[in-house]
Amino acid sequence: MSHVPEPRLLDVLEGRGATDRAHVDACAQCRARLAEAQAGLALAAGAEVPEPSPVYWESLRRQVSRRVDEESERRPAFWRRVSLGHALAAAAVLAGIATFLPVAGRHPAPLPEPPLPAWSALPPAEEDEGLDVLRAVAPVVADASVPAACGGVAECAVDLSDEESQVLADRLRREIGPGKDL
Amino acid sequence: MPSIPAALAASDESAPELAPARRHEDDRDAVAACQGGEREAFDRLVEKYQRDVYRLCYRYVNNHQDANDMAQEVFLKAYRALDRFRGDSSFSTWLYRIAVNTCLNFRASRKPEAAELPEALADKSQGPLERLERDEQSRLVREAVTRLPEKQRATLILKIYHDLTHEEVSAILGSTVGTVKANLFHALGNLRKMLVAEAGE
Ligand SMILES: [Zn+2]
Repeated sequence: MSHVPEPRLLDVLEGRGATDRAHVDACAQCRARLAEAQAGLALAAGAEVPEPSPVYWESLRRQVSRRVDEESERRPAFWRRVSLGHALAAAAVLAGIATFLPVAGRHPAPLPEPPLPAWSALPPAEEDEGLDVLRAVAPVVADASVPAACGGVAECAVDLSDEESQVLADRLRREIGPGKDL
Repeated sequence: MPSIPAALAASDESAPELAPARRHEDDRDAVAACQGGEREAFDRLVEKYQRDVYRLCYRYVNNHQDANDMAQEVFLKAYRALDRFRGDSSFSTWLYRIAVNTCLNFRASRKPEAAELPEALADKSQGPLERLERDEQSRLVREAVTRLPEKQRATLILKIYHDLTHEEVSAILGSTVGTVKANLFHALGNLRKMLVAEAGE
């Protein structure tokens, strides 16, 4: 007799799979496997994570918000560097085009559009072709800017500012009650 | 026999209940706003998912301080990558994927017992004795969960403690639904074996 495979035993555990249920009822081995998983489920289901108070959720939200703000402040600096990369790329392309353009007397032909991505929709750093150009032109600048853009820079401090700490302390005092230390 | 969702219903009381379709629609709007430069939209996503992310992280490290650090890390990674989020999956699936990867790469810096939730931040709605017993039992189970093989642990955490569907878990972990079910079944059996063995020691 072939036994019920695990994915289908899980269906039985979840109350599905009537055919397999009949097998389990008749088979001591599958019944034991199912009973073990059921007992594991009962144990697992009761193991809750300690629930922080609403004060904690507020502090987590503020810490994330502050770090995102710091990230946002760094980002424009990065975008400016990428723009420099694009500017260098554009200059290189234009220079290349200018080199190969035939001299057309006093009426030079209009320049074709440079094959660059739209300035308003910059690609992610690691997919950015402009960075290869930037690397070729100024490897030191590119190598310094790319890790920063990808989040490779040193981690920000996570501590609250003095003002934020004060707000949190006031909230905690209100929760704990007067006359008690934090 | 209680089904898994029924057995879990009581463990997630504080999570706001929204119909999945509506929830995903709201997320799409918030993500689009973020991508359009509306900074506050990201705060709304953080507020909505911070409990899920923190609890997931806690399951991996079993202490508050590391879970707090990791939860922040998850949101920062999400913020950095948000421009590249194209909506191929739901935002929550995408965020869970980041969270699981962050958890797997995180080296716990603190021992569980050294960093319990600060008393001032703990929820005090239960009596002290009741809390103590329940906490001890929970702690043993949580520690056993952290010792499960990687895939089994991730599957059990997402399915049992986050009440996701098998399909959602398979999308997050990049495996088939059949594998998710098999891993969950093994995880439950192994969890029971570990705890029985510990009780016998
Ligand atoms: Zn059998």
